[in-house]
Amino acid sequence: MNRAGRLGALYWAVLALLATPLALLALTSLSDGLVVGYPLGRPTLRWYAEALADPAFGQSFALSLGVAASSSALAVVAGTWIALAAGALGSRALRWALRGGALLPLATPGIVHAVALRIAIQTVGLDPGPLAMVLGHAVHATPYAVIMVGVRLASLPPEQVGAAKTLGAGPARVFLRVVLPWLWPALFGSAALAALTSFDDFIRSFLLGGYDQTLPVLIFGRLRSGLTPEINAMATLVLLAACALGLAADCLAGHRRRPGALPLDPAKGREAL
Amino acid sequence: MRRAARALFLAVPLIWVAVAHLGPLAAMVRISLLAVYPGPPGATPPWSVAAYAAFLEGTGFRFSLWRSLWLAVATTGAALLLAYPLAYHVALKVEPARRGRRLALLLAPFWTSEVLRMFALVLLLANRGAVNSLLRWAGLAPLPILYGNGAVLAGLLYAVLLTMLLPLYAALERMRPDVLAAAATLGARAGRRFWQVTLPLSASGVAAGVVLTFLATLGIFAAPALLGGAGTPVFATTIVDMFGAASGRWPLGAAFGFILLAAGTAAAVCLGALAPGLRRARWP
Amino acid sequence: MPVSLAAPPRLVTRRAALAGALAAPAILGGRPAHAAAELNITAYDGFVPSSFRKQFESETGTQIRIRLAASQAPELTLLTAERDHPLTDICTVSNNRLHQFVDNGIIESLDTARLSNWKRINPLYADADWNRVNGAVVGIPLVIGANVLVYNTQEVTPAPDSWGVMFDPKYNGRVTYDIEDFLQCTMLYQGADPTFISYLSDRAAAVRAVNAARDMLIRYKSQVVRFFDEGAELEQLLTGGDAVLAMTYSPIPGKLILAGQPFRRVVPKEGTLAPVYTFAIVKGAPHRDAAYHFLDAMLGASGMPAALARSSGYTTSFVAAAAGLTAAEVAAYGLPAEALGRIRFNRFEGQALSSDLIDRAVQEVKAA
Repeated sequence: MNRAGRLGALYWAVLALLATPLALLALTSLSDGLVVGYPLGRPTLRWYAEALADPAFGQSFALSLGVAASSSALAVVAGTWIALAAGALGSRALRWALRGGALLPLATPGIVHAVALRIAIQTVGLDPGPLAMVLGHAVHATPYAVIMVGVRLASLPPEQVGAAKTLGAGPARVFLRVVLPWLWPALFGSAALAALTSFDDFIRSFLLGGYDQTLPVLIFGRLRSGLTPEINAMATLVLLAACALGLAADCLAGHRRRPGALPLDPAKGREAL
Repeated sequence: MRRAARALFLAVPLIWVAVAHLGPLAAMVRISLLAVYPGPPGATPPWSVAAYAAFLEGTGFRFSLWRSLWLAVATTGAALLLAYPLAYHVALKVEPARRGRRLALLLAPFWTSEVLRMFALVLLLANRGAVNSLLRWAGLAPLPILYGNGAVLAGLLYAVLLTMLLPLYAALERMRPDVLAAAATLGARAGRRFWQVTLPLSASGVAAGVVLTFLATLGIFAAPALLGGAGTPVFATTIVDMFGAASGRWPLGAAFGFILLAAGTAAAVCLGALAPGLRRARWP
Repeated sequence: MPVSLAAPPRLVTRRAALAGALAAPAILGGRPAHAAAELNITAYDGFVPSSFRKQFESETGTQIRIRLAASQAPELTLLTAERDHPLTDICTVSNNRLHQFVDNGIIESLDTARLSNWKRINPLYADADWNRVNGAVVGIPLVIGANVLVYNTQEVTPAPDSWGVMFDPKYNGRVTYDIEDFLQCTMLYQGADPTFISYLSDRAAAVRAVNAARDMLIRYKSQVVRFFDEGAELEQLLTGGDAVLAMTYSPIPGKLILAGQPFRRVVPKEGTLAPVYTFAIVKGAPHRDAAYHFLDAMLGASGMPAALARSSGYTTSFVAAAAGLTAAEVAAYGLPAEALGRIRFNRFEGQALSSDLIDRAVQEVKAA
């Protein structure tokens, strides 16, 4: 097997490894018994029916999705802006201060940050709820964007910016047509990380959510009585929904080509601007 | 007008970081320097550095911090070894049309709540779990991995793989295949191409991934809490315990949080990561 | 912080705070008693049976919002963080943690005169001195979980009747417990007083007792496969076959027994402690009247003892606790009658002393 074949095998092997524990979750959710474990009971779909009939599940799932989408958008915008500003600052000290400050939420232990945020929103008079959660999750995820965009930005070939400027493009145009397409993989990557981190987050959602429970908060509360097949059914439903969403997005985007690695293809010449 | 716009452009992030990132932490610093928090209603608690001093008392806490740091280093290393070939494969070996789908497939498992993923690992590795049941059925001896360091490492890896993968992917994806082709034409063999072309070009991505993963791992307490044995808990768990206790412990929790923050940042800087990737950009 | 120095001023503050709080309901009780539109509760999963909740909501038009807490520690963190602007009216307090809730200024005393159904609670719990702080009742005891010894009937023979079995080398590496609770059971095993009431005037004796228990746990630490925190962890330890002996107050063993798994619960001959979960009114509760209305209705609802037992998995504190439950359920959720005499409860007065010493001992056992 050549190297491409070996790498491909590694990819599928890792995917299988990642999926196996989840397959177990799904398997135990199909079992009739009240206890999650072996031996498995008779196959049944009743836990899925119960999960779907539970209003708390639907509400918390929708809330989790909404918070994840909003907070990841906010985090990417904030992180990109910070990375751009840090790159443009003249003073080295200010640059390091900005980057350091931006990265702090990542280095702070989760509970310390969550409690700090809780106290902070009280100080500004904001009530716990979806908005507080979006802000809290966004602040937590901003460092991902700052680092990934920063790294990608630093590798922007200077000739492209120079060429665009020489051709008369203003800063906004340069940004939209040259910089932004170049940053795309970093934007996508940090958005994905931010969204998943937000979706999975427990401690911030617990302290900032008030009576609006996201899915992890709901699950944590139910785990007190033990791991039930219903909880596993919920997790499997979420996984299936995520796969469905991913497939749908992929089909929709299938026609449009993503911008290539080089936004300014010499062959295309001026037209790319 | 141009100058005003540029000033605004630079000022907004500075203000945002000061208010949203530093502000909440300033309140925490204050708590760490109080004797109790919150004090009895109406009274202001006195200042005290006892919380920081408590860290130096006895060896327990320092040992726990040390263990956390080493566990984070090990996890980051393992994540890098695992994620790099994966990112390389998806970014460079898969046709662009299929890249999105391949990446999305890798991301899919992470939609499951982190806690449930850990319990799924328990179901997999327990004494009567899937793996051991299979081994016993095949007549082999069961593997007692669960509730040991191996299980904790596996759980941590499961939690942070993406944090390493995505920055690596972003860095590798921009690499021009013709550069590699050129190197091949000039006579470099596969190994040499990798070490002398691919790796250095992706160095900034490696740096980003390493820093993000290391810091993220330090703060995780779910994996060690659910998969660890009776040994020393990790520092993050100790901190969580402090906040769940009476007001005499909150300053300790806050102080320990800052100690972890300082230690983690120092370690991340020592990993030498940040320097190469973040030179001054040339735009605007 | 040395307890002996801090205790007197703190007691005075608490007394003053509680006296003030006791007066508050009387002052505020003069408002007209129409149902408020909203009521906020922070509770464990299953502590408010959903059938009762729906019934109450439709009968009174009050909208009930419930926030789930996974355990006392995160709940305490949350309520402490929002102490100055409480977002909840009723919260769940375990009598083990009573001093933490009182110290952090989170709960107020209960005006039992406003609860016409107070008498439905078994006097053993309602009139108990452990439910009082400086003479005032602070919560409605709802469910009782005793720290029982759980064992796998297929792996542990002969059937154990003493805490000593947890130190039996035959089960090395297959034992699990929560350190804080088991430390107190070990104290019982060694003949000490886990409620610390006998040591109130003799701190040195308390230190000796705690250290003796701590040293025993450290010496036998290899017995333990891991220390658990949550019910789900314990459940997986037992069903996954990694633990054959456990000490817990959680309803998990009852659930496993009802599901037909090979476990049994026993209260060892040395006795045990039982944490009692109560509903307490939060200080500064925005909807105090609605809270009292709700609590009274909950106490008086028909079929509540059985509904609460089933949804929470614990035995309830009602006089008619066994009403409506099958014999199997009573055995799974309840405490055997002959064991009731061996069960003790944590007392508030002892907790200031115990929490400090026990916290430190727990850290030391974890770090050993």
